[in-house]
Amino acid sequence: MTQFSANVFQNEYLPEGGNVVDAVVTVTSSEGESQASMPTNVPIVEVIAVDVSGSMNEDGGAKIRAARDATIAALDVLEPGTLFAVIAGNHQARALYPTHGGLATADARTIAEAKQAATRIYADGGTAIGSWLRGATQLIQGHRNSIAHVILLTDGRNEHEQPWELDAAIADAVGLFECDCRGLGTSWEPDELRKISNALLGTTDIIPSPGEMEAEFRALTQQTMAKQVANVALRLWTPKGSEIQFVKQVSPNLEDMTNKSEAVDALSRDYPLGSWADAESRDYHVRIAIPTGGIGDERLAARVMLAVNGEAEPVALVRAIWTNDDALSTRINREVAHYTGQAELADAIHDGLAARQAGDEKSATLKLGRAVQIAHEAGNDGTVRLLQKVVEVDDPKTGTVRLKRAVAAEDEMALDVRSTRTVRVERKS
Amino acid sequence: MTETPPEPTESQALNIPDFPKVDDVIHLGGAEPDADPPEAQTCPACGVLGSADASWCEACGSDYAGEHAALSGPPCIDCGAAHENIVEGYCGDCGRKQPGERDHQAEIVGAIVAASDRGLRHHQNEDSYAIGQSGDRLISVVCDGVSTTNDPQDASLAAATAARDSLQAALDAGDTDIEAALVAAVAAAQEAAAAVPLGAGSDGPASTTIVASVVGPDPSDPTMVKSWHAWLGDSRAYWMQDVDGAPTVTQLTTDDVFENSITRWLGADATDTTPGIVMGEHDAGGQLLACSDGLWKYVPEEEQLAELLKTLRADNPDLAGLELAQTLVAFANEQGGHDNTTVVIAQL
Repeated sequence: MTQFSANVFQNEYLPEGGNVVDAVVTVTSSEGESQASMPTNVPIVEVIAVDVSGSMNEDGGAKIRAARDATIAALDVLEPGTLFAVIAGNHQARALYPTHGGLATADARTIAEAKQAATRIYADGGTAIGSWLRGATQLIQGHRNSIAHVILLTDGRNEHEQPWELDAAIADAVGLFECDCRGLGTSWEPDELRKISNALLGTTDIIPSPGEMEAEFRALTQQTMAKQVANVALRLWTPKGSEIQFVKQVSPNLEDMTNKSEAVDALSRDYPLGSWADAESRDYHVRIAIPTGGIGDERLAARVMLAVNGEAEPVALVRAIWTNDDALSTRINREVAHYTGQAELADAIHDGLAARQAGDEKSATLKLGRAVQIAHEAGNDGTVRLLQKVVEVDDPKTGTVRLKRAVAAEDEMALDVRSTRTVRVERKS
Repeated sequence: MTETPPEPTESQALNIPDFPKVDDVIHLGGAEPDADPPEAQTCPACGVLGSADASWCEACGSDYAGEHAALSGPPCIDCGAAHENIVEGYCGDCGRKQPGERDHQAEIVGAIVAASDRGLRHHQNEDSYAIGQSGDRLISVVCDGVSTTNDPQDASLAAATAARDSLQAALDAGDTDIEAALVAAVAAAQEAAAAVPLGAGSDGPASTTIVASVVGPDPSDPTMVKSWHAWLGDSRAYWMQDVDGAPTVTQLTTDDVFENSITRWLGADATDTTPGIVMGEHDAGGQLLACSDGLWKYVPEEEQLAELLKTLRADNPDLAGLELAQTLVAFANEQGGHDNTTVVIAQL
């Protein structure tokens, strides 16, 4: 049985009249002591939804060949017993394998058949991503107690259905499966895929060239194979009269979860965390406004629990202690400050790129310069490298940069979609 | 505990609702408090007598007002939610932390009494005391956990208990070298304080002050009393004696303090744990007063403490024992209660 633990990083001291509590909660899963009565054999479902629209024929067929190879690579790493399907998606969804309209159970025969089917992938037609999600929902909805994951690949925009159709398809899939979205090349719309992955607890990323697709599909499938427990939720109890101002995942990447919660009772809410492998660790930043207290009083700002299929275990406390000692109340917690900076970094990149596209060079230079400065300070080297493809960095400490004249479209897009990747606080050993 | 002493302000009539009254004290035998016993009320559910101002029965948990059939304890101190809503010390409605067992303490062992209080500014009581009696000798230990360290409340409790137990064993065994017994008791306290786990916080290892005292009649002269004291840090021992009907106070210990910080303490990172030792000979009829800086920071000079005793006595000529200890704690809280306050008084 997977077990969860949590650490809280916060300055619990508030000044007189203070009422806002910030805390970073690190949730870690581990392989618990095995209990014979509770075996870990939750079925795993993997659905590969691959774009076969006409545009996949571009690049002299390199994209559609990569789609075949990547699908085969993913099939090769399925564990025996995994329930799976391959969907070929264009302006409609077609069950490539199995063709009977359900899921197949992975074994030597079914995987060989599925790989054979994958070699016959050909490209034509339009793009209606919502129909692919509806197809996956149809296949998975009979397996609600599983750990279900969809890999969704597109190379283009959602042009052949109305936006509301995609929204409805997303809404139907919430809670049924998780979805990692990948955009091949630069003709897809990041906001469309982000909308899907945010709602379906997954990630959105760019696959800049067809050659990188196979490794990405293999890695995503392996991640799913490692999952041990589904339907995990962060449950926050907060006192009467308080307001949860935000809940964000801040590591491994930024995801605002504030509006995804469900009320459990008058004072408790569940924030879905999806499925977990053993030995995972994720960080969450919570900000709660609570009724203030008198000097010397202590109030619980939140009781943090981990709920698995509705069963909750308390794991940590977020506290508030009022003091008139300024030295205590003005202390800044390192973790909270760090992730506040990482969120500012993502915003600076987003705003900088938007200004650049709008032709506002002055604002773009300022924002992207600030992004370089924060990323440099925080040791977020991956983001510094992405920024260097868009700006010439004169001095990372002061954030002095110049916009590059010629920027590759995939570099700009990579910076956009990867701006929410964070690094953790460097801990002194 | 190393914080700058606040400017003494004019005494205000501060309402301290959760400060224990003498009637609430747990009596461990020996002298009764001097206050008049309160009128009692009988629990309608179980028939056990309770104090007149109680709202629920300590024996069966029933609410005297009958609103809740069987409360298992007091309601939330903040929002009044029923005791059942309190989860692991916090109110399940408003989140308020409920008073800890150590927030307001009082104890009587024969002729020695102790009162210890969280004060009004700290969220927990990091002071500890341990008192005892062996024949006609009384044992007092006061420890003040250093609030800039991790879990100082654990260090102070471990140290006070270890020192008292060590002295109790030595005196019960008939040891006559009290100075050696005190040195051994402080060594036992150091071992106990140093064994406190480092904990999760980012501060240093738990540390605490100590002042340990043994007082008793002089066997060779019944008109005299002898006292022995060992200390590290800024917790103090005083001798209080009436001279011509007026209280006088003599400070017996010398603070280990330099520029507002203590220079010696007990704990894993302590470098000098050889205690200061002092012995006193006093006329019979006086009192030992041992206290943490939560009290003496408001009356740092002997004359100020004597003046305070005189003022308190003017209001209540019979003020003594636990009532005096609690009145001194209440005084510290009236001054602002900036720190935890612990007072031990031994009547000889």
